[in-house]
Amino acid sequence: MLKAVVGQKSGLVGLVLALLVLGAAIFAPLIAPHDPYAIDMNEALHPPSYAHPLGTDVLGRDIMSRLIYGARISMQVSLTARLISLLLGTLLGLVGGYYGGRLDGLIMRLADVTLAYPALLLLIAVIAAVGPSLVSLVVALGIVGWAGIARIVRAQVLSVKEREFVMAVRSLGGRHSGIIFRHVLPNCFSQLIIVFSMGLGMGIMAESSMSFLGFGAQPPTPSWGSMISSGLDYLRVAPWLSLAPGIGITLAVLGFNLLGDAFRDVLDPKLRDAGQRG
Amino acid sequence: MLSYAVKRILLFVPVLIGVATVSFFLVYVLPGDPVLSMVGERYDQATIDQLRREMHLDDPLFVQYGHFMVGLARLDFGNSYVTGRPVLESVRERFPFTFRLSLFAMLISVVVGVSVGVVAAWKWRTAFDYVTMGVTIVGISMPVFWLGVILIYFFSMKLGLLPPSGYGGGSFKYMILPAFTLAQASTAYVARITRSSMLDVVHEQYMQTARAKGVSELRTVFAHGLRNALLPVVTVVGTDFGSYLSGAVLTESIFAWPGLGRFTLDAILKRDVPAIQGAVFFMAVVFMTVNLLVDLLYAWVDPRVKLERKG
Repeated sequence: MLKAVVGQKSGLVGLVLALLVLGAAIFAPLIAPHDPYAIDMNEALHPPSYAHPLGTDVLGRDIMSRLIYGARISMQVSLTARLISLLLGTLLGLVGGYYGGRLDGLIMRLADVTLAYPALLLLIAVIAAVGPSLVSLVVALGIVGWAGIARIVRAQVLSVKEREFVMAVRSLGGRHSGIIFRHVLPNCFSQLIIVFSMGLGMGIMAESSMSFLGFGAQPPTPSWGSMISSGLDYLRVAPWLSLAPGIGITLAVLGFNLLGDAFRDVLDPKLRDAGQRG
Repeated sequence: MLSYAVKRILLFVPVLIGVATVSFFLVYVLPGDPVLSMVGERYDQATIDQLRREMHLDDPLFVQYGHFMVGLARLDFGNSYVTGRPVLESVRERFPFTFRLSLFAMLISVVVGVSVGVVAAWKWRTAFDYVTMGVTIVGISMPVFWLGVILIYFFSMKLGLLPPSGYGGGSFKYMILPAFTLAQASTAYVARITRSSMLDVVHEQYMQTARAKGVSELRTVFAHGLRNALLPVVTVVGTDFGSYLSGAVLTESIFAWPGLGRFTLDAILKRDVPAIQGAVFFMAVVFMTVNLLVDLLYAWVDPRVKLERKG
Protein backbone atom coordinates (compact mmCIF):
# COMPACT_ATOMS: atom_id res chain seq x y z
CA MET A 1 0.00 0.00 0.00
CA LEU A 2 2.80 2.37 0.93
CA LYS A 3 4.36 1.69 -2.44
CA ALA A 4 1.20 2.76 -4.22
CA VAL A 5 0.99 5.91 -2.11
CA VAL A 6 4.58 6.86 -2.86
CA GLY A 7 4.03 5.93 -6.49
CA GLN A 8 1.96 9.06 -6.91
CA LYS A 9 4.08 12.18 -7.10
CA SER A 10 1.84 14.13 -4.75
CA GLY A 11 1.76 11.21 -2.35
CA LEU A 12 5.56 11.21 -2.23
CA VAL A 13 5.68 14.96 -1.58
CA GLY A 14 3.09 14.51 1.14
CA LEU A 15 5.00 11.71 2.77
CA VAL A 16 8.25 13.68 2.74
CA LEU A 17 6.61 16.77 4.25
CA ALA A 18 4.79 14.72 6.85
CA LEU A 19 7.98 12.89 7.84
CA LEU A 20 9.81 16.22 8.04
CA VAL A 21 7.25 17.61 10.46
CA LEU A 22 7.14 14.37 12.45
CA GLY A 23 10.95 14.28 12.53
CA ALA A 24 11.12 17.85 13.75
CA ALA A 25 8.57 17.02 16.43
CA ILE A 26 10.33 13.89 17.66
CA PHE A 27 13.92 15.10 17.45
CA ALA A 28 13.32 18.74 18.39
CA PRO A 29 15.87 18.79 21.25
CA LEU A 30 18.54 17.35 18.95
CA ILE A 31 18.08 19.56 15.89
CA ALA A 32 17.00 22.89 17.38
CA PRO A 33 20.01 25.24 17.28
CA HIS A 34 19.01 27.06 20.48
CA ASP A 35 16.83 26.65 23.55
CA PRO A 36 13.35 27.77 22.42
CA TYR A 37 12.68 29.35 25.83
CA ALA A 38 16.06 31.07 26.31
CA ILE A 39 15.54 34.81 26.64
CA ASP A 40 18.33 37.15 25.56
CA MET A 41 17.32 40.79 25.47
CA ASN A 42 20.55 41.78 23.70
CA GLU A 43 19.50 39.69 20.75
CA ALA A 44 15.89 40.92 20.58
CA LEU A 45 14.21 41.36 17.18
CA HIS A 46 17.27 40.49 15.13
CA PRO A 47 16.55 39.82 11.46
CA PRO A 48 17.54 36.43 10.02
CA SER A 49 21.28 35.86 10.28
CA TYR A 50 23.80 33.02 10.36
CA ALA A 51 23.41 32.54 14.12
CA HIS A 52 19.61 32.82 13.92
CA PRO A 53 18.48 31.58 10.47
CA LEU A 54 14.93 32.87 10.98
CA GLY A 55 15.74 35.78 13.28
CA THR A 56 14.77 36.32 16.90
CA ASP A 57 11.59 37.47 18.60
CA VAL A 58 10.94 40.36 20.96
CA LEU A 59 12.52 38.47 23.88
CA GLY A 60 15.53 37.45 21.82
CA ARG A 61 14.38 33.85 21.48
CA ASP A 62 15.49 31.96 18.38
CA ILE A 63 12.57 31.67 15.93
CA MET A 64 14.01 28.63 14.18
CA SER A 65 14.17 26.68 17.43
CA ARG A 66 10.68 27.79 18.43
CA LEU A 67 9.42 26.72 15.02
CA ILE A 68 10.93 23.24 15.46
CA TYR A 69 9.44 22.89 18.94
CA GLY A 70 6.18 24.22 17.50
CA ALA A 71 6.00 21.13 15.31
CA ARG A 72 6.05 19.12 18.52
CA ILE A 73 3.06 21.02 19.97
CA SER A 74 1.13 20.77 16.71
CA MET A 75 1.72 17.06 16.29
CA GLN A 76 0.98 16.26 19.92
CA VAL A 77 -2.31 18.13 19.87
CA SER A 78 -3.37 16.93 16.45
CA LEU A 79 -2.45 13.26 16.98
CA THR A 80 -3.98 12.93 20.44
CA ALA A 81 -7.13 14.81 19.47
CA ARG A 82 -7.54 12.73 16.36
CA LEU A 83 -7.10 9.52 18.34
CA ILE A 84 -9.82 10.61 20.76
CA SER A 85 -12.16 11.41 17.84
CA LEU A 86 -11.32 8.12 16.20
CA LEU A 87 -12.01 6.14 19.35
CA LEU A 88 -15.27 7.91 20.15
CA GLY A 89 -16.46 8.02 16.55
CA THR A 90 -15.60 4.41 15.78
CA LEU A 91 -17.20 3.09 18.94
CA LEU A 92 -20.43 5.07 18.55
CA GLY A 93 -20.59 4.42 14.82
CA LEU A 94 -20.10 0.69 15.31
CA VAL A 95 -22.66 0.42 18.07
CA GLY A 96 -25.23 2.59 16.29
CA GLY A 97 -24.81 0.93 12.93
CA TYR A 98 -24.74 -2.61 14.26
CA TYR A 99 -27.60 -2.49 16.73
CA GLY A 100 -29.72 0.09 14.92
CA GLY A 101 -33.03 1.10 16.45
CA ARG A 102 -33.45 3.84 19.04
CA LEU A 103 -29.85 3.83 20.16
CA ASP A 104 -28.75 4.41 16.58
CA GLY A 105 -31.31 7.19 16.21
CA LEU A 106 -30.07 8.88 19.34
CA ILE A 107 -26.42 8.65 18.31
CA MET A 108 -27.13 10.02 14.86
CA ARG A 109 -29.18 12.93 16.22
CA LEU A 110 -26.26 13.72 18.52
CA ALA A 111 -24.01 13.68 15.49
CA ASP A 112 -26.43 16.01 13.69
CA VAL A 113 -26.30 18.44 16.61
CA THR A 114 -22.50 18.35 16.72
CA LEU A 115 -22.26 18.94 13.00
CA ALA A 116 -24.89 21.69 13.13
CA TYR A 117 -22.30 23.98 14.67
CA PRO A 118 -19.62 25.64 12.63
CA ALA A 119 -16.59 23.66 13.89
CA LEU A 120 -14.40 26.54 15.01
CA LEU A 121 -17.27 28.21 16.83
CA LEU A 122 -18.05 25.06 18.78
CA LEU A 123 -14.37 24.72 19.69
CA ILE A 124 -14.20 28.29 20.93
CA ALA A 125 -17.34 27.86 22.99
CA VAL A 126 -16.07 24.63 24.58
CA ILE A 127 -12.67 26.16 25.34
CA ALA A 128 -14.28 29.24 26.82
CA ALA A 129 -16.23 26.99 29.14
CA VAL A 130 -13.33 24.87 30.38
CA GLY A 131 -10.59 27.51 30.22
CA PRO A 132 -7.85 27.81 27.61
CA SER A 133 -4.97 25.34 27.76
CA LEU A 134 -3.44 22.78 25.45
CA VAL A 135 -5.06 19.93 27.33
CA SER A 136 -8.54 21.37 27.04
CA LEU A 137 -7.87 22.09 23.38
CA VAL A 138 -6.95 18.45 22.77
CA VAL A 139 -10.07 17.22 24.55
CA ALA A 140 -12.35 19.73 22.81
CA LEU A 141 -10.86 18.97 19.41
CA GLY A 142 -11.21 15.26 20.07
CA ILE A 143 -14.83 15.52 21.13
CA VAL A 144 -15.86 17.87 18.34
CA GLY A 145 -14.40 15.53 15.71
CA TRP A 146 -16.31 12.38 16.64
CA ALA A 147 -19.45 13.00 14.60
CA GLY A 148 -17.98 12.86 11.11
CA ILE A 149 -16.12 9.65 11.89
CA ALA A 150 -19.17 8.05 13.49
CA ARG A 151 -21.20 8.71 10.35
CA ILE A 152 -18.59 7.15 8.09
CA VAL A 153 -18.14 4.09 10.31
CA ARG A 154 -21.87 3.64 10.66
CA ALA A 155 -22.40 3.74 6.90
CA GLN A 156 -19.68 1.14 6.49
CA VAL A 157 -21.16 -1.06 9.21
CA LEU A 158 -24.58 -0.92 7.59
CA SER A 159 -23.17 -2.21 4.33
CA VAL A 160 -20.96 -4.87 5.93
CA LYS A 161 -23.64 -6.10 8.34
CA GLU A 162 -25.77 -7.58 5.57
CA ARG A 163 -22.90 -9.37 3.87
CA GLU A 164 -22.94 -13.14 3.80
CA PHE A 165 -19.93 -13.78 5.99
CA VAL A 166 -21.47 -11.81 8.83
CA MET A 167 -24.71 -13.71 8.44
CA ALA A 168 -22.72 -16.92 8.48
CA VAL A 169 -20.93 -16.08 11.73
CA ARG A 170 -24.18 -15.07 13.31
CA SER A 171 -25.97 -18.26 12.27
CA LEU A 172 -23.12 -20.22 13.79
CA GLY A 173 -23.89 -18.51 17.07
CA GLY A 174 -21.13 -15.89 17.07
CA ARG A 175 -21.40 -13.26 19.79
CA HIS A 176 -22.24 -9.68 18.82
CA SER A 177 -19.03 -8.24 20.27
CA GLY A 178 -17.02 -10.84 18.38
CA ILE A 179 -18.77 -10.04 15.13
CA ILE A 180 -18.33 -6.30 15.63
CA PHE A 181 -14.66 -6.35 16.48
CA ARG A 182 -13.45 -9.31 14.46
CA HIS A 183 -15.52 -8.98 11.30
CA VAL A 184 -17.15 -5.59 10.96
CA LEU A 185 -14.39 -3.33 12.29
CA PRO A 186 -11.59 -4.67 10.07
CA ASN A 187 -13.77 -3.79 7.09
CA CYS A 188 -13.76 -0.18 8.19
CA PHE A 189 -9.96 0.08 8.39
CA SER A 190 -9.29 1.62 5.00
CA GLN A 191 -11.94 4.26 5.63
CA LEU A 192 -10.44 4.99 9.02
CA ILE A 193 -6.92 5.38 7.64
CA ILE A 194 -8.19 7.93 5.14
CA VAL A 195 -10.17 9.86 7.73
CA PHE A 196 -7.28 9.79 10.19
CA SER A 197 -4.63 11.11 7.83
CA MET A 198 -6.91 13.80 6.44
CA GLY A 199 -7.87 14.76 9.96
CA LEU A 200 -4.27 15.30 11.04
CA GLY A 201 -3.95 18.28 8.71
CA MET A 202 -7.22 19.67 9.98
CA GLY A 203 -6.07 19.15 13.54
CA ILE A 204 -2.87 21.12 12.94
CA MET A 205 -4.92 23.89 11.36
CA ALA A 206 -7.37 23.91 14.27
CA GLU A 207 -4.59 23.98 16.87
CA SER A 208 -2.87 26.93 15.23
CA SER A 209 -6.14 28.79 14.70
CA MET A 210 -7.14 28.35 18.32
CA SER A 211 -3.69 29.28 19.60
CA PHE A 212 -3.73 32.31 17.32
CA LEU A 213 -6.97 33.45 18.97
CA GLY A 214 -5.48 32.80 22.42
CA PHE A 215 -7.59 29.72 23.18
CA GLY A 216 -4.83 27.15 22.82
CA ALA A 217 -1.19 27.14 23.81
CA GLN A 218 -0.37 29.83 26.36
CA PRO A 219 2.92 31.74 26.46
CA PRO A 220 5.75 30.93 26.56
CA THR A 221 4.85 27.65 24.82
CA PRO A 222 6.12 27.85 21.23
CA SER A 223 2.97 27.14 19.20
CA TRP A 224 2.87 28.22 15.55
CA GLY A 225 -0.48 29.96 15.93
CA SER A 226 0.47 31.97 19.01
CA MET A 227 3.83 32.87 17.43
CA ILE A 228 1.96 34.46 14.53
CA SER A 229 -0.34 36.42 16.80
CA SER A 230 2.43 37.65 19.08
CA GLY A 231 4.37 38.78 16.03
CA LEU A 232 1.50 40.98 14.86
CA ASP A 233 2.51 43.94 17.00
CA TYR A 234 5.91 44.01 15.29
CA LEU A 235 4.72 43.23 11.78
CA ARG A 236 6.10 46.47 10.39
CA VAL A 237 9.57 46.21 11.91
CA ALA A 238 10.03 42.45 12.19
CA PRO A 239 7.76 40.66 9.69
CA TRP A 240 9.67 37.37 10.05
CA LEU A 241 8.07 36.87 13.46
CA SER A 242 4.69 36.20 11.88
CA LEU A 243 5.76 35.01 8.45
CA ALA A 244 7.99 32.10 9.47
CA PRO A 245 5.47 30.15 11.60
CA GLY A 246 2.87 30.40 8.83
CA ILE A 247 5.20 28.59 6.47
CA GLY A 248 5.52 25.84 9.07
CA ILE A 249 1.74 25.47 9.34
CA THR A 250 1.21 25.52 5.59
CA LEU A 251 3.87 22.88 4.89
CA ALA A 252 2.63 20.62 7.69
CA VAL A 253 -1.03 20.86 6.66
CA LEU A 254 -0.09 20.49 3.00
CA GLY A 255 1.91 17.36 3.79
CA PHE A 256 -0.92 15.62 5.61
CA ASN A 257 -3.50 16.77 3.04
CA LEU A 258 -1.46 15.31 0.18
CA LEU A 259 -0.81 12.14 2.13
CA GLY A 260 -4.50 11.81 2.96
CA ASP A 261 -5.42 12.34 -0.70
CA ALA A 262 -2.94 9.68 -1.75
CA PHE A 263 -4.25 7.18 0.79
CA ARG A 264 -7.76 7.88 -0.40
CA ASP A 265 -6.88 7.43 -4.07
CA VAL A 266 -5.21 4.13 -3.30
CA LEU A 267 -7.69 2.74 -0.77
CA ASP A 268 -10.96 4.11 -2.02
CA PRO A 269 -10.94 5.86 -5.38
CA LYS A 270 -14.68 6.45 -5.16
CA LEU A 271 -14.17 9.06 -2.50
CA ARG A 272 -12.21 11.38 -4.77
CA ASP A 273 -12.72 15.02 -3.74
CA ALA A 274 -15.09 14.03 -0.98
CA GLY A 275 -12.97 14.65 2.03
CA GLN A 276 -10.32 17.26 1.47
CA ARG A 277 -11.83 19.23 4.24
CA GLY A 278 -13.63 16.41 5.97
CA MET B 1 -39.37 15.90 -3.85
CA LEU B 2 -42.06 17.14 -1.49
CA SER B 3 -41.80 14.19 0.87
CA TYR B 4 -38.02 14.50 0.91
CA ALA B 5 -38.31 18.20 1.73
CA VAL B 6 -40.85 17.56 4.49
CA LYS B 7 -38.67 14.85 5.97
CA ARG B 8 -35.60 17.06 5.98
CA ILE B 9 -37.50 19.95 7.54
CA LEU B 10 -39.03 17.74 10.23
CA LEU B 11 -35.56 16.48 11.09
CA PHE B 12 -34.54 20.10 11.53
CA VAL B 13 -36.69 20.53 14.64
CA PRO B 14 -35.08 18.00 17.02
CA VAL B 15 -31.62 19.13 15.92
CA LEU B 16 -32.63 22.72 16.61
CA ILE B 17 -33.73 21.80 20.14
CA GLY B 18 -30.49 19.88 20.60
CA VAL B 19 -28.45 22.85 19.46
CA ALA B 20 -30.30 25.18 21.82
CA THR B 21 -29.70 22.76 24.70
CA VAL B 22 -26.01 22.40 23.97
CA SER B 23 -25.64 26.16 23.59
CA PHE B 24 -27.24 26.63 27.00
CA PHE B 25 -25.23 24.08 28.94
CA LEU B 26 -21.96 24.86 27.25
CA VAL B 27 -22.11 28.42 28.43
CA TYR B 28 -23.72 27.56 31.74
CA VAL B 29 -20.54 25.91 32.95
CA LEU B 30 -18.48 29.04 32.19
CA PRO B 31 -16.32 29.84 35.20
CA GLY B 32 -16.62 33.17 37.01
CA ASP B 33 -19.53 35.01 38.57
CA PRO B 34 -21.28 37.35 36.12
CA VAL B 35 -22.78 39.44 38.93
CA LEU B 36 -19.42 40.17 40.51
CA SER B 37 -18.00 41.20 37.18
CA MET B 38 -21.01 43.49 36.65
CA VAL B 39 -20.90 45.38 39.92
CA GLY B 40 -17.14 45.48 40.04
CA GLU B 41 -15.09 46.33 43.14
CA ARG B 42 -17.50 48.37 45.24
CA TYR B 43 -20.18 45.80 45.75
CA ASP B 44 -22.56 45.42 48.63
CA GLN B 45 -24.27 42.14 49.34
CA ALA B 46 -27.84 43.49 49.00
CA THR B 47 -27.29 44.70 45.45
CA ILE B 48 -25.68 41.42 44.51
CA ASP B 49 -28.52 39.38 45.93
CA GLN B 50 -31.04 41.53 44.11
CA LEU B 51 -29.18 41.25 40.81
CA ARG B 52 -28.86 37.52 41.20
CA ARG B 53 -32.63 37.27 41.70
CA GLU B 54 -33.34 39.52 38.71
CA MET B 55 -31.09 37.47 36.49
CA HIS B 56 -32.61 34.21 37.73
CA LEU B 57 -29.16 33.00 38.73
CA ASP B 58 -30.44 31.50 41.98
CA ASP B 59 -33.02 29.33 40.25
CA PRO B 60 -32.36 25.63 39.92
CA LEU B 61 -30.60 24.59 36.74
CA PHE B 62 -33.64 23.15 34.99
CA VAL B 63 -35.69 26.28 35.72
CA GLN B 64 -32.98 28.41 34.14
CA TYR B 65 -32.92 26.04 31.21
CA GLY B 66 -36.69 26.26 30.81
CA HIS B 67 -36.42 30.02 30.99
CA PHE B 68 -33.81 30.01 28.23
CA MET B 69 -35.82 27.71 25.95
CA VAL B 70 -39.08 29.62 26.41
CA GLY B 71 -37.17 32.82 25.70
CA LEU B 72 -35.75 31.37 22.48
CA ALA B 73 -39.19 30.26 21.36
CA ARG B 74 -40.30 33.87 21.77
CA LEU B 75 -37.16 35.09 20.02
CA ASP B 76 -35.94 36.60 23.25
CA PHE B 77 -32.25 35.91 23.74
CA GLY B 78 -32.08 37.80 27.02
CA ASN B 79 -30.07 40.92 27.79
CA SER B 80 -26.32 41.33 27.64
CA TYR B 81 -24.59 41.38 31.04
CA VAL B 82 -22.21 44.02 29.76
CA THR B 83 -24.37 46.50 27.90
CA GLY B 84 -27.79 45.56 29.24
CA ARG B 85 -29.17 45.62 25.71
CA PRO B 86 -31.24 42.77 24.25
CA VAL B 87 -28.84 40.29 22.66
CA LEU B 88 -31.04 39.82 19.61
CA GLU B 89 -30.79 43.54 18.90
CA SER B 90 -26.98 43.39 18.87
CA VAL B 91 -27.01 40.24 16.76
CA ARG B 92 -29.33 41.90 14.26
CA GLU B 93 -27.05 44.91 14.18
CA ARG B 94 -23.89 42.90 13.56
CA PHE B 95 -25.25 40.33 11.14
CA PRO B 96 -25.44 42.65 8.08
CA PHE B 97 -21.68 43.29 8.35
CA THR B 98 -20.97 39.58 8.29
CA PHE B 99 -23.46 39.13 5.48
CA ARG B 100 -21.83 41.79 3.30
CA LEU B 101 -18.38 40.34 3.79
CA SER B 102 -19.55 36.76 3.18
CA LEU B 103 -21.42 37.69 0.04
CA PHE B 104 -18.42 39.45 -1.45
CA ALA B 105 -16.08 36.61 -0.48
CA MET B 106 -18.46 34.09 -2.04
CA LEU B 107 -18.61 36.13 -5.21
CA ILE B 108 -14.82 36.08 -5.43
CA SER B 109 -14.58 32.35 -4.87
CA VAL B 110 -17.28 31.52 -7.41
CA VAL B 111 -15.97 33.81 -10.16
CA VAL B 112 -12.27 33.06 -9.67
CA GLY B 113 -12.67 29.44 -8.60
CA VAL B 114 -15.01 28.36 -11.38
CA SER B 115 -13.05 30.12 -14.13
CA VAL B 116 -9.74 28.69 -12.97
CA GLY B 117 -11.28 25.24 -12.64
CA VAL B 118 -12.84 25.30 -16.11
CA VAL B 119 -9.66 26.48 -17.80
CA ALA B 120 -7.59 23.92 -15.87
CA ALA B 121 -9.90 21.12 -17.04
CA TRP B 122 -9.91 22.47 -20.57
CA LYS B 123 -6.11 22.70 -20.57
CA TRP B 124 -5.86 19.35 -18.82
CA ARG B 125 -2.28 18.17 -18.22
CA THR B 126 -0.72 21.40 -19.41
CA ALA B 127 1.46 23.77 -17.42
CA PHE B 128 -1.59 25.85 -16.53
CA ASP B 129 -3.32 22.83 -15.07
CA TYR B 130 -0.32 21.72 -13.02
CA VAL B 131 0.50 25.19 -11.71
CA THR B 132 -3.06 26.06 -10.69
CA MET B 133 -3.61 22.70 -9.04
CA GLY B 134 -0.36 23.15 -7.12
CA VAL B 135 -1.34 26.65 -6.05
CA THR B 136 -4.83 25.57 -5.00
CA ILE B 137 -3.67 22.68 -2.82
CA VAL B 138 -1.32 25.10 -1.05
CA GLY B 139 -4.23 27.53 -0.82
CA ILE B 140 -6.34 24.94 0.97
CA SER B 141 -3.50 24.15 3.37
CA MET B 142 -2.71 27.76 4.24
CA PRO B 143 -4.21 29.13 7.46
CA VAL B 144 -6.66 31.93 6.70
CA PHE B 145 -5.35 34.16 9.49
CA TRP B 146 -1.81 33.91 8.14
CA LEU B 147 -2.92 34.95 4.66
CA GLY B 148 -4.64 37.91 6.30
CA VAL B 149 -1.38 38.87 7.98
CA ILE B 150 0.58 38.59 4.72
CA LEU B 151 -1.97 40.68 2.83
CA ILE B 152 -1.90 43.35 5.52
CA TYR B 153 1.89 43.38 5.44
CA PHE B 154 2.17 43.78 1.68
CA PHE B 155 -0.88 45.78 0.68
CA SER B 156 -1.15 48.08 3.68
CA MET B 157 2.29 48.35 5.21
CA LYS B 158 4.61 47.98 2.23
CA LEU B 159 2.55 49.31 -0.65
CA GLY B 160 0.14 51.49 1.33
CA LEU B 161 -2.66 50.65 -1.09
CA LEU B 162 -5.38 49.40 1.21
CA PRO B 163 -6.38 50.02 4.82
CA PRO B 164 -5.13 47.29 7.19
CA SER B 165 -8.31 46.91 9.23
CA GLY B 166 -11.60 48.41 10.31
CA TYR B 167 -14.87 49.02 8.57
CA GLY B 168 -14.25 52.54 7.27
CA GLY B 169 -17.91 53.52 7.32
CA GLY B 170 -18.73 51.01 4.62
CA SER B 171 -16.09 52.14 2.14
CA PHE B 172 -15.39 49.40 -0.40
CA LYS B 173 -11.62 49.70 0.10
CA TYR B 174 -11.94 48.30 3.60
CA MET B 175 -13.69 45.19 2.41
CA ILE B 176 -11.15 44.05 -0.18
CA LEU B 177 -8.48 42.49 2.06
CA PRO B 178 -10.88 40.75 4.45
CA ALA B 179 -12.98 39.41 1.58
CA PHE B 180 -10.00 37.97 -0.28
CA THR B 181 -8.68 36.47 2.93
CA LEU B 182 -12.02 34.87 3.69
CA ALA B 183 -12.42 33.67 0.10
CA GLN B 184 -8.99 32.02 -0.11
CA ALA B 185 -9.78 28.48 0.95
CA SER B 186 -13.08 28.15 -0.87
CA THR B 187 -11.69 29.72 -4.06
CA ALA B 188 -9.00 27.05 -4.10
CA TYR B 189 -11.48 24.34 -3.27
CA VAL B 190 -14.04 25.48 -5.83
CA ALA B 191 -11.34 25.53 -8.51
CA ARG B 192 -10.37 21.93 -7.71
CA ILE B 193 -13.94 20.66 -7.59
CA THR B 194 -14.88 22.46 -10.80
CA ARG B 195 -11.88 20.99 -12.55
CA SER B 196 -12.48 17.40 -11.51
CA SER B 197 -16.18 17.66 -12.13
CA MET B 198 -15.56 19.14 -15.60
CA LEU B 199 -13.17 16.28 -16.33
CA ASP B 200 -15.94 13.87 -15.37
CA VAL B 201 -18.43 15.30 -17.85
CA VAL B 202 -16.02 15.83 -20.73
CA HIS B 203 -16.48 12.28 -21.89
CA GLU B 204 -20.25 12.16 -21.46
CA GLN B 205 -22.24 11.37 -24.55
CA TYR B 206 -24.10 14.66 -24.64
CA MET B 207 -20.77 16.43 -25.03
CA GLN B 208 -19.94 14.26 -28.03
CA THR B 209 -23.41 14.90 -29.40
CA ALA B 210 -22.98 18.64 -29.06
CA ARG B 211 -19.65 18.49 -30.87
CA ALA B 212 -21.10 16.24 -33.56
CA LYS B 213 -23.95 18.71 -34.07
CA GLY B 214 -21.33 21.31 -34.86
CA VAL B 215 -21.62 23.33 -31.66
CA SER B 216 -18.44 25.34 -31.17
CA GLU B 217 -15.88 24.02 -28.69
CA LEU B 218 -16.28 27.02 -26.39
CA ARG B 219 -20.04 26.62 -26.33
CA THR B 220 -19.76 22.91 -25.75
CA VAL B 221 -17.52 23.45 -22.74
CA PHE B 222 -19.52 26.23 -21.18
CA ALA B 223 -23.14 25.66 -22.16
CA HIS B 224 -23.16 21.88 -22.07
CA GLY B 225 -20.27 20.86 -19.87
CA LEU B 226 -20.17 23.51 -17.17
CA ARG B 227 -23.90 23.38 -16.58
CA ASN B 228 -23.70 19.77 -15.57
CA ALA B 229 -20.37 20.06 -13.85
CA LEU B 230 -21.60 22.80 -11.56
CA LEU B 231 -23.75 20.55 -9.40
CA PRO B 232 -21.03 19.55 -6.92
CA VAL B 233 -19.78 23.13 -6.95
CA VAL B 234 -23.17 24.32 -5.72
CA THR B 235 -22.84 22.20 -2.60
CA VAL B 236 -19.36 23.45 -1.79
CA VAL B 237 -20.29 27.07 -2.36
CA GLY B 238 -23.46 26.73 -0.32
CA THR B 239 -21.80 25.07 2.66
CA ASP B 240 -18.96 27.58 2.65
CA PHE B 241 -21.41 30.45 2.48
CA GLY B 242 -23.14 28.97 5.50
CA SER B 243 -19.93 28.80 7.47
CA TYR B 244 -18.93 32.36 6.51
CA LEU B 245 -22.32 33.67 7.56
CA SER B 246 -22.00 31.92 10.87
CA GLY B 247 -19.16 34.17 11.78
CA ALA B 248 -15.78 34.26 10.14
CA VAL B 249 -14.21 34.55 13.57
CA LEU B 250 -10.59 34.52 12.41
CA THR B 251 -10.95 36.90 9.48
CA GLU B 252 -13.16 39.29 11.40
CA SER B 253 -10.80 39.41 14.33
CA ILE B 254 -7.67 40.08 12.24
CA PHE B 255 -9.30 42.88 10.28
CA ALA B 256 -11.35 44.25 13.20
CA TRP B 257 -14.46 43.75 11.08
CA PRO B 258 -17.53 44.52 13.20
CA GLY B 259 -19.42 41.35 12.31
CA LEU B 260 -20.96 38.52 14.27
CA GLY B 261 -17.76 36.50 14.64
CA ARG B 262 -15.99 39.39 16.29
CA PHE B 263 -19.06 39.99 18.47
CA THR B 264 -19.02 36.41 19.73
CA LEU B 265 -15.30 36.51 20.39
CA ASP B 266 -15.70 39.72 22.40
CA ALA B 267 -18.61 38.22 24.31
CA ILE B 268 -16.53 35.17 25.19
CA LEU B 269 -13.60 37.28 26.37
CA LYS B 270 -15.98 39.34 28.54
CA ARG B 271 -17.84 36.23 29.76
CA ASP B 272 -21.11 37.81 28.67
CA VAL B 273 -23.20 34.65 29.02
CA PRO B 274 -26.49 35.69 27.33
CA ALA B 275 -24.58 37.25 24.45
CA ILE B 276 -22.54 34.08 23.91
CA GLN B 277 -25.60 31.83 24.17
CA GLY B 278 -27.62 34.01 21.80
CA ALA B 279 -24.86 34.49 19.25
CA VAL B 280 -23.76 30.85 19.25
CA PHE B 281 -27.35 29.67 18.87
CA PHE B 282 -28.08 32.20 16.15
CA MET B 283 -25.00 31.22 14.16
CA ALA B 284 -25.72 27.52 14.45
CA VAL B 285 -29.25 28.17 13.17
CA VAL B 286 -27.95 30.19 10.22
CA PHE B 287 -25.42 27.47 9.46
CA MET B 288 -28.06 24.73 9.65
CA THR B 289 -30.56 26.68 7.58
CA VAL B 290 -28.13 27.34 4.78
CA ASN B 291 -27.08 23.68 4.77
CA LEU B 292 -30.73 22.61 4.63
CA LEU B 293 -31.40 24.97 1.73
CA VAL B 294 -28.35 23.65 -0.10
CA ASP B 295 -29.55 20.07 0.35
CA LEU B 296 -33.04 20.92 -0.86
CA LEU B 297 -31.70 22.89 -3.80
CA TYR B 298 -29.44 19.99 -4.69
CA ALA B 299 -32.28 17.48 -4.51
CA TRP B 300 -34.38 19.76 -6.67
CA VAL B 301 -31.70 20.20 -9.30
CA ASP B 302 -30.60 16.58 -9.26
CA PRO B 303 -33.54 14.22 -8.65
CA ARG B 304 -31.20 11.26 -8.24
CA VAL B 305 -30.17 12.53 -4.81
CA LYS B 306 -33.36 11.94 -2.92
CA LEU B 307 -33.64 8.42 -4.22
CA GLU B 308 -30.14 7.59 -3.01
CA ARG B 309 -30.62 9.13 0.38
CA LYS B 310 -33.84 7.30 1.02
CA GLY B 311 -31.96 4.03 0.96
